[in-house]
Amino acid sequence: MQEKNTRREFLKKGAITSAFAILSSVQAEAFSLANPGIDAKNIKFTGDSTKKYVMVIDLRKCVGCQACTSSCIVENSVPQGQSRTSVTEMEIGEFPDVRKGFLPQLCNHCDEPSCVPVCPTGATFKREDGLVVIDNKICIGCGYCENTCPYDKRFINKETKVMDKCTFCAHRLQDGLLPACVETCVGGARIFGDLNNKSSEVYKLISNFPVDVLQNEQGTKPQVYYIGLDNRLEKIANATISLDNLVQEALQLEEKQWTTVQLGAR
Amino acid sequence: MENLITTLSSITPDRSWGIDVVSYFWFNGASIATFLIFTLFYVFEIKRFKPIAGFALLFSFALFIPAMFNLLDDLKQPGRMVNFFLYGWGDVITSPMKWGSFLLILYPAIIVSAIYLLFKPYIIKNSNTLKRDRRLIYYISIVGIPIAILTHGYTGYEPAIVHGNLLWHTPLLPLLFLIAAMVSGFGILIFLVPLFQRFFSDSKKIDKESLALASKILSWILILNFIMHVLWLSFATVFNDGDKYILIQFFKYYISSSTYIIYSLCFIIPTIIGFSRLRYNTFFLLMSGVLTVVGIWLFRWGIVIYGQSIPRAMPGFLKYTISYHESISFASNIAIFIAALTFLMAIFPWEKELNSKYKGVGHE
Repeated sequence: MQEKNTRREFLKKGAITSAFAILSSVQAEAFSLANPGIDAKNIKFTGDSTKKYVMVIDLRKCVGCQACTSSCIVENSVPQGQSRTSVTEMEIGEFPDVRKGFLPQLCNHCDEPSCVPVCPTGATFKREDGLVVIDNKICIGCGYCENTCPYDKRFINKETKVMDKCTFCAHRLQDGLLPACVETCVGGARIFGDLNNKSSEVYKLISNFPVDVLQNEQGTKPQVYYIGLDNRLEKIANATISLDNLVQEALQLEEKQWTTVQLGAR
Repeated sequence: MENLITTLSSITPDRSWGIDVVSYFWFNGASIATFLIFTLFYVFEIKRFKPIAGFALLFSFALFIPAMFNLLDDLKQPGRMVNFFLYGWGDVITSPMKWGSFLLILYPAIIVSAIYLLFKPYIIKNSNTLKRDRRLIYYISIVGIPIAILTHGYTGYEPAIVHGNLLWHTPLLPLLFLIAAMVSGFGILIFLVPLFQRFFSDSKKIDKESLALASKILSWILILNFIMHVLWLSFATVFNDGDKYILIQFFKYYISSSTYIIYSLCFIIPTIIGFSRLRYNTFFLLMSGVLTVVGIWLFRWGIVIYGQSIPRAMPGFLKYTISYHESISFASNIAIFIAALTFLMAIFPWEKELNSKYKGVGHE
């Protein structure tokens, strides 16, 4: 009897100690509706509410040089083989009636992002200045947001093991600089600015030119606008050939878990 | 139109969900289904399910344990799991994954309580609360039914709300998930119950009547499963808007004929067995169980892996390769299930409970 009581007592004390340890380990900002950064009204999390950042990509000026891809990788320390922005290069038609088609792509920082409301930890959120960003200290890497993004613009960073994507170079904006891809665009195809500012270039371009967004039907209200978008390039079911895959094969690089396939080649 | 376009250089997009998510959906579904089968006797009082009820309850817990490991293993930052419970409550309505934060606590709590109450009379010798315990099991099971449905229904919601995915975005998906779950639940019972009864019970007798009924019900669920597939795929590929052309390519060229054949056989053969006298034959019963288990696993694979292979903004279909880590994870998963099942069957006196079940069902 004595032994039974002792065991019960031991378990009771153990449970109380464990509960106390768990509760005390939970930080004061726990049980947040969003995440601790937003609750603390940290400017990195809230952004500048007077601004609304957008990007315009003038496809008439894009030469497909991938300077944007490279500068983004360098600026944001994106691991090898991954990218936050890239330019898809296509050939339209056959000789002699042929031309190149380029489609630079990055996170669209949608006004109605499909990635934000599904995040189970509040790690991904939209700032007041329109930037969709990720708190990489909160993200658990469940990958749900990646699947809900209709633009394929999210990926698990191989080094940090959390979700990663374009931030419009939020750290540079904070210092009054332009995003790295805009800064290095040799053709001046990428234009960035504040849509609330009526004298900004983006405001003028969006007002004066017919602009389009990628997959408008998704209803996400993307904030990357294109001038001269050929909608045939928006959704291509069957990739015919990809230099990406050829390079991987030629250099015998480690096979990725997901690779692009040609349906005819199966 | 696409013949005009040649892709020269593009980036293969990243996809996060692999075999862990496939297994999670499978184990979660099979777990809730076996729990619902348990309630067929304890709530709906279908006497023929008396002998299977105890097994079903223990199986539901044994199946739930590997599901939880899947969920954890799938995370790229499993050490931050606690964030799932701490942050992001503002998205609780719009994030089906967030619904899991309370369902995955409530559901096992219900199973554990039911197991405790069901086996209490056989463990605590002087228990005088049998009647009260049975009432409690009844009430817990009634609460458990919607919780179990939601616990799997939410997994169906997860892909269903993804409007960028042509295969997933249908309100039928949560229902398809639930039906698939019932198929795998009946399948695993039909496969495992005869083995336990034959090799681990004193009587060594297989309860063919109950299993034959389970097999027949399984056949009806398979018919329902087929109807749901027709509804889902006809709207996706025939009566859809322009997106149907991508799905037509997907079904025509991406999925191999052998996959179609195996998938169909996994459901056609058990349907025939369930509707014929073959359901009284143990060999065919076991075959039926294995085939449905495999068939639903293929369904989960199709949803998760094939679903992610469909192009969105980057050109081309994708191919998935199972990594070494994932194959180990999958093997561990099965090992965890076997270990959990063996452990539960070893510590709970299911045989005593089973023998008590035969009273009143003409099997003494």
